[in-house]
Amino acid sequence: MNLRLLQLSDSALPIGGYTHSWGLEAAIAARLASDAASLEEWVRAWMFHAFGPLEGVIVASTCRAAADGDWPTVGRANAILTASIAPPSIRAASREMGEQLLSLASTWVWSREGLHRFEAGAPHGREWGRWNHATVFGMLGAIAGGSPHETLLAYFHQAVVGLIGAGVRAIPVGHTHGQQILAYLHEEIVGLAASLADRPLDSAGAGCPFYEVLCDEQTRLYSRLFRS
Amino acid sequence: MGSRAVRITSEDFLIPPEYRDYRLAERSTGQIGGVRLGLIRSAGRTVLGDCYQQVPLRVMPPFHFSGEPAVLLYLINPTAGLLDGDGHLVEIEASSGTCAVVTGQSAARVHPAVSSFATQQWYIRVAAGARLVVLPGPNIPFKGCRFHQRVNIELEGDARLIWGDIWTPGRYERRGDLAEHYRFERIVQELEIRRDGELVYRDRFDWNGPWDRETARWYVGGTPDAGTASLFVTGTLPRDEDAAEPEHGYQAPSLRRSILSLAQGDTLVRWCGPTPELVPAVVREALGLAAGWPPEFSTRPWLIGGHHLGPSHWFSTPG
Repeated sequence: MNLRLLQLSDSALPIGGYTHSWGLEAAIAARLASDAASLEEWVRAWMFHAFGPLEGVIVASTCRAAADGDWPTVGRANAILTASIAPPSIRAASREMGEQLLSLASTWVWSREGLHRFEAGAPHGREWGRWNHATVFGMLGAIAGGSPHETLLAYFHQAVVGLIGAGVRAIPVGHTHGQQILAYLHEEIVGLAASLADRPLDSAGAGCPFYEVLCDEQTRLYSRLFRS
Repeated sequence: MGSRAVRITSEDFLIPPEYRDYRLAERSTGQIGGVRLGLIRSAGRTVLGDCYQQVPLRVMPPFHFSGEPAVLLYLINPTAGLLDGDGHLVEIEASSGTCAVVTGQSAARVHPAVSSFATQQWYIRVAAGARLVVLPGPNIPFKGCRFHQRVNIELEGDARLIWGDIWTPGRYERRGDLAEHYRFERIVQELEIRRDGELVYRDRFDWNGPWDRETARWYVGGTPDAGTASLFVTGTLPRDEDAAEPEHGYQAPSLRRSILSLAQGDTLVRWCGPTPELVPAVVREALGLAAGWPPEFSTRPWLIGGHHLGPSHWFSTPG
């Protein structure tokens, strides 16, 4: 078991993930998610149609490139992700969490040295404020010794835990139901990661217009629990 | 890129990994074609510069209308649409000082795939000081079609551009079981826009059909005839009170519209909703926003705000 990957995917990691619902809050307001069953469907659709095809491919590609010391590709993956996330709230969340994870990991004994190599080799160095969560996670996964597939699994797991957690608080749904949903989704997450881990970087992208509209509508809800 | 008078062949088309097992038509006349055209400024007007045309695509000479800052340029496809194995290449180079609306004469019907796929590939370069609106027309993906749309746009400096994408559910108004709602087999889009070499917007997707009701709801929303559209607009949008029209856009209550500020200061406007209302809304907004571009700052949308055009275009809007 790779404890470093477990640390990266810890839901208690202080990088702000707890404050985001990734559009779920607007879906709840629109009655698209209203109980445990519809929350499970929402999380599944989000993983397979939106999050996985874009961020999943970025994570695996970044992990592969970082393991090879291919820093220009790491930078290109980050630029692709920034240009691909249209809703400002989601892009801000991605970049804030990326910055914070980068800052946090620069103090960890197992990742410090690897991040120094990145800083020296990346086209723009560290440049705080420019790096997305998926890119940083993929890079740290490589530093942790994880394969692209393992790193992607860890990334998906923390994302699903975060989204279910948002649903548990916002719908609300009981924690027991939340854990059941997570258990239901485990095998599907494994399959999705396997299908995406080897995809080329240029294939990253999702194309979910209605989801993007919901993410935008979330920012105009009368009262909000989440920042996205 | 450029107005080279060189025959367009299947070798000129990039094939995405999703279609790597398929080949475009290689010998069939009329299936592989396109236009390469330059827009230049001459005697104070925007005119065609170098231009190469290859069936099935044709370009009509620009229409100049009095009082209109932009010329209207039609791309004509006299065939039934995009058929299996078709490849249409469109290259546009807009020089500094030019001002144009480029559009198709109709919606693009993408016919069912048999052993290949159909592709439409756009390469557009907009020079500093040029203004260009490109509205290819709604895409109508027929049942069982495989389609690839590639769009590569390079902006230079303060170039102004609006690019519009409209995706309909298919032939949704046919009666009974013949009605098509997202019955395509696969649609791959690769859209990238760069300014001075920097990637500013990217929309890449691989839609696997046919979609059931739940999947369609995820992608485009819940109404049966829901389509989706987007406009990429350089720069930020004007505040409503500064726009050419109070609501700078034809709005319908059933449409969901979001204005998304992109990372490099540009804007994406997204719509989801009933297709009959979606199409005029997108066009009106595109031409209304263009009217706000300097130096003219027109008070009404380009082209459709005047009385020059008959009401029979795909982009005609309700009076």
